[in-house]
Amino acid sequence: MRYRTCGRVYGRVLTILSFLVLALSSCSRAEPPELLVYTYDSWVADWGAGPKVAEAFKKQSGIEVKFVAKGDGGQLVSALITESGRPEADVALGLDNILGKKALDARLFAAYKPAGADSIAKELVLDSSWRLTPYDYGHFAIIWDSQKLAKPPASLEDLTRPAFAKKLIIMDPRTSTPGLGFLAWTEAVYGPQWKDYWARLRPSVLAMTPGWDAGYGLFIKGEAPLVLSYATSPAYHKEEEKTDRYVALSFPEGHVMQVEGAGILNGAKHRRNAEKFMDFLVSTECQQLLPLTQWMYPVNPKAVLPASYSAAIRPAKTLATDAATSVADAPLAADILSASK
Amino acid sequence: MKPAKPDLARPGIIGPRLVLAAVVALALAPVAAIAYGSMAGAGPGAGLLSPFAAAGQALTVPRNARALAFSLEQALMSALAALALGLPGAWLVAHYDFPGRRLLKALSAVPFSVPPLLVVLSFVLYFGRSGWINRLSMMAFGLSEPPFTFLYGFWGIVLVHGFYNFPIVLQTVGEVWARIPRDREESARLLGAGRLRAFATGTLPSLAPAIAQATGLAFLFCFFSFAVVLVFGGLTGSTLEVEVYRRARIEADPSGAAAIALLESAVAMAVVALIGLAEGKNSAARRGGTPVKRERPAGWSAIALLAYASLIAVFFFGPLAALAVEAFTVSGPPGEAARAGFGNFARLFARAGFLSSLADTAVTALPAAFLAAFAGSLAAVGMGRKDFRGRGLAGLPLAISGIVAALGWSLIFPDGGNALVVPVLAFTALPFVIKSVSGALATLEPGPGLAARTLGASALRATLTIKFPAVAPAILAAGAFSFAISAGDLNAPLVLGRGSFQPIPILMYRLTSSYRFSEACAAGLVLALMTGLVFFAKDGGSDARA
Amino acid sequence: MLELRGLARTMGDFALNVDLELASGAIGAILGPSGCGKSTLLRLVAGLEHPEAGSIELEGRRLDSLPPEARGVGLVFQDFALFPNMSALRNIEYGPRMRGEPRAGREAKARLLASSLGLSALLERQPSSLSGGEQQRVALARTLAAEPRLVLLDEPLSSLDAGLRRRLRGEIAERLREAGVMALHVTHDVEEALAIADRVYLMENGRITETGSPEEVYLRPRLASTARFVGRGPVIPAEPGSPGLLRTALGDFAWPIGVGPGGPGRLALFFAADAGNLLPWAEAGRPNTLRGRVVSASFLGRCRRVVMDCGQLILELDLDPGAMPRRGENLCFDIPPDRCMLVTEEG
Repeated sequence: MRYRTCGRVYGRVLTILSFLVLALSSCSRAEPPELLVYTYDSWVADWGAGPKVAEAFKKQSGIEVKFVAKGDGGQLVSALITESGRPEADVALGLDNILGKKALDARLFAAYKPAGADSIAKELVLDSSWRLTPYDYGHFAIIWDSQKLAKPPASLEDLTRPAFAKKLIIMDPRTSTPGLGFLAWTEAVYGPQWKDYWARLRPSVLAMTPGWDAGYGLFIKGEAPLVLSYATSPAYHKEEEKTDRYVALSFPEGHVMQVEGAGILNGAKHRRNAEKFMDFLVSTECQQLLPLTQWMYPVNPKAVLPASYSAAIRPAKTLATDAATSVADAPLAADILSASK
Repeated sequence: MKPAKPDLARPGIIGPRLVLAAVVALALAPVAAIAYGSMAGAGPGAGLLSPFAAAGQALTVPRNARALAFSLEQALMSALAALALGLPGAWLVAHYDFPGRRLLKALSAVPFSVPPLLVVLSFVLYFGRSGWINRLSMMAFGLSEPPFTFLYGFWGIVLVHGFYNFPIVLQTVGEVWARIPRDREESARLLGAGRLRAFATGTLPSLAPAIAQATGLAFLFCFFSFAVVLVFGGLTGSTLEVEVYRRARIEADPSGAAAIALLESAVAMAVVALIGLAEGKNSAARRGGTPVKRERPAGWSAIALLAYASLIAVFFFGPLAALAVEAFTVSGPPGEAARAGFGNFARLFARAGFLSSLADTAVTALPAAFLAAFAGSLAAVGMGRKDFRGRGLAGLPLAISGIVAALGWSLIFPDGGNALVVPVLAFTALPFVIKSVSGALATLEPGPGLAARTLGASALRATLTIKFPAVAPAILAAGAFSFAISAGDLNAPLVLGRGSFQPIPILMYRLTSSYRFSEACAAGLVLALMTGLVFFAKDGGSDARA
Repeated sequence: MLELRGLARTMGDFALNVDLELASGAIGAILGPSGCGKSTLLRLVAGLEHPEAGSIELEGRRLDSLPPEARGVGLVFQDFALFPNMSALRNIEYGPRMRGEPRAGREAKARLLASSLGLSALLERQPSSLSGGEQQRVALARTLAAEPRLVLLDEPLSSLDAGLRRRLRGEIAERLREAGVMALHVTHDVEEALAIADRVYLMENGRITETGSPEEVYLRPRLASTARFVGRGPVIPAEPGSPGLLRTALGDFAWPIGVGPGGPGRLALFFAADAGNLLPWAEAGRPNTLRGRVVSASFLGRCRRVVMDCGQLILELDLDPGAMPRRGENLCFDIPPDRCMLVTEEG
């Protein structure tokens, strides 16, 4: 009897609860069709991926996605950490395997594995619990200006030869992602002896620029025939300038890659829309927009690559990296390069 | 009856104190926010002094001490280079009338309106290994390797900084020099002193404060310089600004960034205090001076002018010209050489965002310039009193580097907002407005204003009808300067801007971040033209007064 | 002796061309309106500007190619040009210091000079805390301390008030004579020039037009321009009429036989403002008479100045202080022939 009574009470509670759940879920179903995404600056440029992705997503889902640029990648992470727990945004987009670690450690993201995520190659997966979902990637590589230099270096080690004295422009590992990537690359190849490598490399380096833009700008203006950039960079020149002049060099030691990802923020107000966006982000339709806007490879193997990507390379060997070590070693690396002659 | 005081020259002391307090508060806000943020980050047990202790601790790290030493060294040498280049120009514009004089005086807008990345590119295009100078000499002397490679190294930094900052010296010192009576120096000559000695006796004591002030300004700009130091001196040494940047943006380590930022700001504030001291003496030396008559150069002075003009043409306009040529160079189809054309501009102007970019620049830089000119003039009028202490504090915003400001403001306004960009920009420009308007007020004779009062004008009317028109050209000049600073600033819009807000510096940043360098050069040229026009227009105004 | 020969300098459409001689130990005054080039002349002599032609010789030594500091010429500036960052004493001993005199000696010299100029109590003061007259004295002491052979004074009293100006000009002349130094003093104040100088040089449009002792230029000017500038009395354009008579717009005038026109060129009649005697109206019309209507009269103490409308000309004449002419009254004057002088319009 008592049990029954209890059962009845239980049953009523259940009924009320299920009503509540229904009400709540209908609430969430009535989520306004909007989504706020924090990202880095170049994503939102007129010619960048942002406007095209937003348009395609709206057409597909009816949801209006608003991209807010928070400066460069580093500023994006800082902003997310500042707002952690009570984010304005629903999704953060543009954290890579190098800078994203801090954000993962800060428990900013909710796990969500998007539909179709299984087709993403294992080595691209940023987080086993899918708090971050990769959307594009590219290897770091040395780009060779074939009109300025007859014979390119054949390997990382080759770069240190006197023949390449003052011929290489790299980026500062303390202030830029490619610079950090290059440090990680040498660490992966040389292990603890990376310091010796940097010391050997020093005569070859013409300049170490604060960011990719300054370094690549110098390279394009013919200041040096070799520059640290992405293995996909030649595709840009082929697509936009119809030239094969710039060549990405594939080194036998292997390459390090940058994988960029997005994640749903803990406490997102539009959780369902965010999930839809994540599904869309890895869909073939969206992925096909990335090669010519991000100048990176799409993570979805079904995405068709434009013809200009024949100039890009996908190195055979990808090296594993430890971002945290590289970040910590960056000042030392810079010190080695700037050690007095 | 209270004694008749010329209250035209003595507005209340409350107003300027309030303005000054606001300036100081605003200047300290980013630093305070950073310190507070680091305190919060350090946990509940952290005391109020912990950020400062951390700053002190940071100095004991050899790497930071080295970075500080290098920052100081390169900034000092760069400021001295700017001084060496600016002084002859200051002498010329103060003493001679020649075609291009106005242009020379207007050059001080350049360091503010050309973004650092473009400055780097322009010097590379000109002095770089395959720049104009090297290509020319290789062709002329049949060399296979570029002969001039000094650009990458300590002297490259000094060269670029020197030529980038000399217009500040030229303008600041030239303005004062023109008002120093020449008969003191002539007296000394007639009493038996040689040229140099006479200069040291008759002119230098009055000129020294302006020299100190201009050198101090150049020193600060070089101390905070980021792109130039890293690109050209990246293999020579590092600066504190790099450490702040690294900790804030790469390591996401707010307390680490705060420690270095505090250290850096403290050093800069000490320099600002020194500038303030010099400024106080400067306005005293300047009081009542009227510009001396300028002559047409002839003989030796004509030769000196020609030599100086060539130097500036080769080292200052050369790189800018290289940049302009770059903007007009279209890379041809494969196998063909690049050619001249409007292609980059055509592509730039065809961009959907370009016109709105121009508009975004206008709607932020213009109100910011107005706001700075207005608030700065009010402050300057208030601080015009001889006995007003703390005038030097008005320069405090100069002690906040771009990266520290960006970091601080992003902590204070995490959500940002386009409207916030205007006051932040205006605030950056404020010290320049106060300096310019104070200078004009110091040379103002009290007579006409008092005459207006005796003719029945109220204090306000007298100020509006007599005093204001007399200093209007200086306010205009300061407004133009503020416009240049605001239109060229990348940090504030990048940190605080939202939505589709894309003033030209951001557009350029996005262009260079996506391989479009020539288009960025074109955009830079548009920006430089925009600020150049505003600046040239105002200088016409101030010349008409003289 | 100071000799300037064909010293020439052009500035735009202004041309300076000067010949001048000044005896050793004498004080000369260059008198002329502002803009006549007198300051430029001083700057040329001092070496602060360079002549296009001509020579400067001081006591037989050519100065033109020497730099200012080697000329032995001192200059007292209009605005004194004291060094604001030095005390009065340091200002005064600057010249000896430049010559490398030992500190004790030059200080003693400076103190001695200062005491003769009444500056002893002010020596430690900064120039900005001194009055105009005190600054002027420091400037003079500073110039004299350098022991120049020639002192140039560029309107050194023009920024001082009238009483001080009168007192100082006597003092300056006295100090200069005491030091036995030649001086060239530039001024537009006639009284100052007459009071200070041994020799006065009238200057106009970049040229010296007339030279003479103070008495000569005041009492017996040769040129109409000198007479006008000195302002002793009316200058009336004239032409030769019947023998012994000058014809003017106001009637005919006789002048003393034997006093001929000073040079070629158009003539003018000049007489002192107080040369006239009042005549009864009936006498009007005779030679050497003037008539006109009183426009205004003002009491100047030693005389009563009347402005007369004489039909063709407005004249200023001085009457006995006791005379009481009314406005609108018609007056007739007699100018005795021995008070009439002939001057010429051009030199």
